[in-house]
Amino acid sequence: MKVGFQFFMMIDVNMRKLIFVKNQIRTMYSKISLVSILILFLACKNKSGTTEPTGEEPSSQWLLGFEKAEKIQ
Amino acid sequence: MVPDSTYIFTDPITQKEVRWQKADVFNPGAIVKNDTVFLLFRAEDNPDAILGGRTSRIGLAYSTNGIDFTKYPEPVFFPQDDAFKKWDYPGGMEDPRIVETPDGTYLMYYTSWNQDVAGLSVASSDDLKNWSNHGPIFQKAHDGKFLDVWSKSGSVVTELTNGRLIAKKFNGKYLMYWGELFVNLAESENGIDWTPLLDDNGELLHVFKPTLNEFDSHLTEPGPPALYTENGILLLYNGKNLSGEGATDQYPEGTYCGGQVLFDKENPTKMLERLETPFICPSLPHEVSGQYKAGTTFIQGLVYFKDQWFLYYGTADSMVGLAIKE
Repeated sequence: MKVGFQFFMMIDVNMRKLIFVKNQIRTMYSKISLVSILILFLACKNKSGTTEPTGEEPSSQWLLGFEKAEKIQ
Repeated sequence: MVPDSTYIFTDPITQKEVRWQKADVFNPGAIVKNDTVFLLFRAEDNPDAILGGRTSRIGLAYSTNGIDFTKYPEPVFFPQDDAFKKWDYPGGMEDPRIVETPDGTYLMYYTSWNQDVAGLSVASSDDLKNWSNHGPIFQKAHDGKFLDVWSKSGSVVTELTNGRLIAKKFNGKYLMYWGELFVNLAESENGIDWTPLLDDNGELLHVFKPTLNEFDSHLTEPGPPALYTENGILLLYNGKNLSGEGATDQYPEGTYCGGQVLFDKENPTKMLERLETPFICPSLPHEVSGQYKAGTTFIQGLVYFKDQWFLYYGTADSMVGLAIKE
């Protein structure tokens, strides 16, 4: 019974992911043409689209004291 | 804070009695009022429901020490047969963030989940118990262009004023970091109607993005209300690790950890620094064994209380956890 429940919960989570992806795709299609998709694809091949790590230690002044959170159990 | 199946209320849509927090309580917003911490938490009803069959409602709890909470008997905000049902039902209201405006009004930004599109919505209150729903925050912006675009997790920029976090205006407008995959920015004059900032192509302006092979390789999702400091605008956010290519092996795949990023206070679209190591990650048993088994410490509620910072977070989409720092 418990295994079955976990299985269905896994489906639940995956369904949410699918719905999210579906809506992302639908939004894209409403905005851009197939030609734009091709251009986007080519652009993405040359750009990761992610933030580059600075490689520097951040200033501790802006950490709000939460350098490492102390959890209350 | 943990679920409790003894709490019952009559659902106004089905007219049936519902054990509204039987399954899970998690992802709370937090605010201090009258030297008391109030949590507005997400409660899910039916642990046996499948395929998104649960409805989320917002419960209210209070504490005079920030640790031991007393819940109100019924949810204070829930889907109803009203003009907002098409956005709020059947999935319900999720993941509230609370801010106080300079005139003492409380604004709650939450995710409307109709099991089709998740949308950022807003409600207002004078007492934290009685809420007026105003619906999706992007209804009027750009001729409704972003009304049905997936939107979540609004972190309004606040400033610590006389011990309370108060929403701060920049040139007459509030600012909000929001999003799920990327962090976007929006502005508002009244805190109800928001306009997303766009790039030169008319698309959403991404002010912060995932970093491949790091703890936030998949998602960068705003956490509690952002904080205006002398060093910049500090946004605590939830970073999710990818699964497979692009993920880091430092943390389990799919895990949510808490990170920090600093924006330029003169130019809130400009990221200055990012904390490369998350400051909070799932490690305790209840943080990796609940509804979301990859584990979350989903940070969402932040208050300054009794000269300390109290950070409330959801544990594996099942319970509420707390971290305190002086």
